[in-house]
Amino acid sequence: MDDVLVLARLQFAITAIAHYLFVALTLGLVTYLVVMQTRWAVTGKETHRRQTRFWGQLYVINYAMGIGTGIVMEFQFGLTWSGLTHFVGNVFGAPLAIETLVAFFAESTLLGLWIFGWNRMGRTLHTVLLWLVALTAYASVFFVLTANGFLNHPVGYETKDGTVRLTDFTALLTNPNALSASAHILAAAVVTGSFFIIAVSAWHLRRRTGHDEFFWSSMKLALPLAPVFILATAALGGWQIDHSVRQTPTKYGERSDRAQALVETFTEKFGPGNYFPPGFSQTAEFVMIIPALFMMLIAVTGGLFMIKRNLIRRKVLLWLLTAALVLPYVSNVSGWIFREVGRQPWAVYGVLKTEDAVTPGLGFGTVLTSLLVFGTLVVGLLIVDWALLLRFARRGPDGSHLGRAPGEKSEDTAADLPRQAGEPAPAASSPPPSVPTF
Amino acid sequence: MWHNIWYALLGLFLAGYLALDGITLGTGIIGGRLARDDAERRTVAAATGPFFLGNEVWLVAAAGITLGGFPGLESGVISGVYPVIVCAVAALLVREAATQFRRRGSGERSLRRWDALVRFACLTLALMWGLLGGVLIGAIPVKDGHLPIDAAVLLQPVAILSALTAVAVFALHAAVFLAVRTEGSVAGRAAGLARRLAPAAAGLAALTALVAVADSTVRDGLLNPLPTALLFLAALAALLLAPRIIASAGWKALLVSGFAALSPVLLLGAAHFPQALVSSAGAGEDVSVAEAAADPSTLAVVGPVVLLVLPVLLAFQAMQWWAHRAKADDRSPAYF
Repeated sequence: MDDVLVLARLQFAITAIAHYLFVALTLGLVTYLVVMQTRWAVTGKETHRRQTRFWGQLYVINYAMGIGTGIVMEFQFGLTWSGLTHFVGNVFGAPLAIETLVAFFAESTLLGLWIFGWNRMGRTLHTVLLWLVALTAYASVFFVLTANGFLNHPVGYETKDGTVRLTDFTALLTNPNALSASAHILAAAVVTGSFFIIAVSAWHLRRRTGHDEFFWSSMKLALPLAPVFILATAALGGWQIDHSVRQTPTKYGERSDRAQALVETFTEKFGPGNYFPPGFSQTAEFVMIIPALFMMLIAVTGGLFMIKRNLIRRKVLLWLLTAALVLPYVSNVSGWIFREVGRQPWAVYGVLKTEDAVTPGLGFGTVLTSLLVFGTLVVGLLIVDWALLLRFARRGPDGSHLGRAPGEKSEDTAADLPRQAGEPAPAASSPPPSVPTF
Repeated sequence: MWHNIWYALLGLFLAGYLALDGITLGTGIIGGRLARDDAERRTVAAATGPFFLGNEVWLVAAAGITLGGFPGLESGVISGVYPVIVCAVAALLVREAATQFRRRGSGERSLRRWDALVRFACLTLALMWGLLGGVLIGAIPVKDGHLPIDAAVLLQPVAILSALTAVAVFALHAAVFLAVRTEGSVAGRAAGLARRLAPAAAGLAALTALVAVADSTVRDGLLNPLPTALLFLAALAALLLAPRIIASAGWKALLVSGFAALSPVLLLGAAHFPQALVSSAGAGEDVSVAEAAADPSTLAVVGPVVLLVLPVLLAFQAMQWWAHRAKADDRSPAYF
C-alpha cells in the first residue's frame, strides 16, 4: 500500500511539475503579448505586429504542452486520488469545475480564434481576443489556487457523515492562503516571462543576428520590468508566508510552539505519527529564494548597462542574461515543492492524510504502468517542445509560422541560419482578397 | 432539482465533445487516406485546424463537471476503468503535442511521422471512448459506489463491438464534415467515403445492439428500454441519412451525422435514468444521479455560476464556427 502511495505521488509530482514549467511561461508571455499587441492595435506599426507574432509563436508552442499535461493532471484526481474526491469532492471540486468552464473552456476557444484570426480579423477585435485569453488565464490561476488553497488551508466547510460539505462559498473564494499564493504566482510568472524574453533577445544581440532593433526593443520592454516583478514576487511571497506560518506551521519545521501545539491536536484526533514534512521541503524554500537573488543582481546590472545601448557590446553580460533563464524555472519548481511537500503528510491539511486520499484497492502494477506511460510521454514531449521553442527562438522574427499570410515565405528553407546583418526583412504580404474577413 | 440540471450539463458537454471532437478524431483517422498530395493535405489540415482547440476543450469541461458536480462518479467509476482512461489520456496528450508540432518541424519526413502519431492517437481515442460507452451501457459490478478494475468487464463483446462502432461513426462524421467544409477533389472523395462508410457504421451499431440485447447483464442495464430503443433507431437512421444529403443539405448533413456521434450520451442517459450507474450486484447497489452528485449545497451555489456563463461560452464557440464558415482550401490558414 505504501508503495502504491509513493508511485501515485510520484506520478502526480511529475505531471504537476511538467505542467507548471509550461504554465509559468504561458502566463508570463501572455502578459507581454497583451502589451505588444495593444501597442500594435493603437499605433498600427508593423514593428509591433512583428513583435507580437514572434513572441506569440513561442507562446503558442509553449502552450501546447500546458494543455496536454493539464489534461493528465485533471484525470488523475479520478484515477489515483479518488479518496480525495470522495471525501472532499463537494468542496475541492467546485473551484476546479468553475476553472474548467469559466476560465479554461473560454481560454482555449478564444486562443483558437486568436491563432487563426491573424490576417482575417480587424486589428481591434483580434487584440480584444488576446486580452480575453489573458484574463481567462489569470482567472484559471485564481480558481486552481482556490482548490489548492483549500488543500493547504481548508475553509468554508463542515464534516458530516464521512464527507465534507460546502458551507461558505465566499470563504472558499476569499481564502487568504489561496489569494496570497495566486498573487505570488502571477508575479513570479511575469518574472519567468521577462527572463524568457531577456534570454532570447540577449542571444540574438550577442550573436549579431541582424535583428538588433527588433530584439533591443523587446529587451527594453522586459529588462526594466524584471527587477520590479522580482521585488513584487518577494513581497507577495512574504505576505503568503505570513499567512502560511499561522495556517500550516508544520511546513516550517519543529521550531515553533504553534507547530508543536498543532501536532498534539493532530495526535489526539488521528493518533500518533510523524506530522512534519520531509526535510527537503524546507531546503526547497532556499532553492527558491537563492536564484531570485541572482536574478535580481543580473537584471539590475543589465539594466544599468542599457544606457546608450552599452549592453549590446557586453558579450559576457549578454551571455549571462541568456544563461539566467534557468533561474526562474529553478525557483518556480522549488516554490511548488516547498508548498506541496511541505503540506505532507496531509492531502487536506489537518483533515485528510495523503495515504487516505489515494484510490482504495489500487494495484501496484496498475499505478506503475500508468506512471511509466505518463512519465515517458510527458518527459519525451517536454524535450520535443523545448527543442521547438529553441528552434523558433533562434530563427528570429522572420521564421514565425503564426500569423503567416497564405503564400508568405517563411525561413523554413534557410533552416535556422541567422540572417545576415543588414539584409532587409521580407514584408508581410497582405491577405489575398478571397479570404473572408470576420 | 440541481442534480438533474448538473446531469444535463454533464450530458451537454459530453455530447458536445463527441459531436465536435468526433470531427477531429475522425479526420485524424481518415485524413491521411483522403488527401493524395501536399495541397490536399493542407486543405484537410485547414478544414479542421481552426476548431481543434475549441473542440477538445469540451472534454476538459465535462471532466471538470464530473469533478465538481459528480464526485460519486469521479471516485466510483474512473478508477474502475483505469486502463481505459490511462490509454485515452495518454492518447490525448500525444495528439495534442503531435497536432501542434506537426508543421513546426522541417521537412516531409517529420511531418509524416507526426501525422502517423496523430492517426494512432485518434484511433486509440475513438476505440477507448467506444469501449467506455459499451461498458457503461450495461449493468456493471459497482458495489458500495465503487467499481473494481476487471478485465472481463472492460473487454466484454459489447464493449469491443462498441469500440469498433465508434471508429466507424467518427470516420463517417469526419467524412461528412470534410465533404461540407472543403471543395473539389477532397470534398468529392470525402462524400464518396461517407457513403461507403454508412452501411459499415450502421451495421456495426446494429450488431452491437443485437449482442447487447442478447447479453442478460447488459439487458439489466436498460432500465428504460423503449426510449433507449427509439433513440438507437434514430441514431441508426442518422448514420444512413447523413451521407445521402451532403449535396442537397450542406451543413445540415453535418448536424445529422453529429447527432449520430453524440447519441451514445443520450443512450446512456435514457437507458439508466434516474440511475446514473446500474449495478449487476442488485438494484440496491445502483448509483442514482442524486447519489452520484455532489452535495446540494455545492450544486446550488456553483450551478448558477455555470448557467450564467454558459451562454457566453456557447457564444465564443459559435463565433469560432461563424469565423470559419467559408470553405477551406490549400490557401486557407492552416496553422496546425
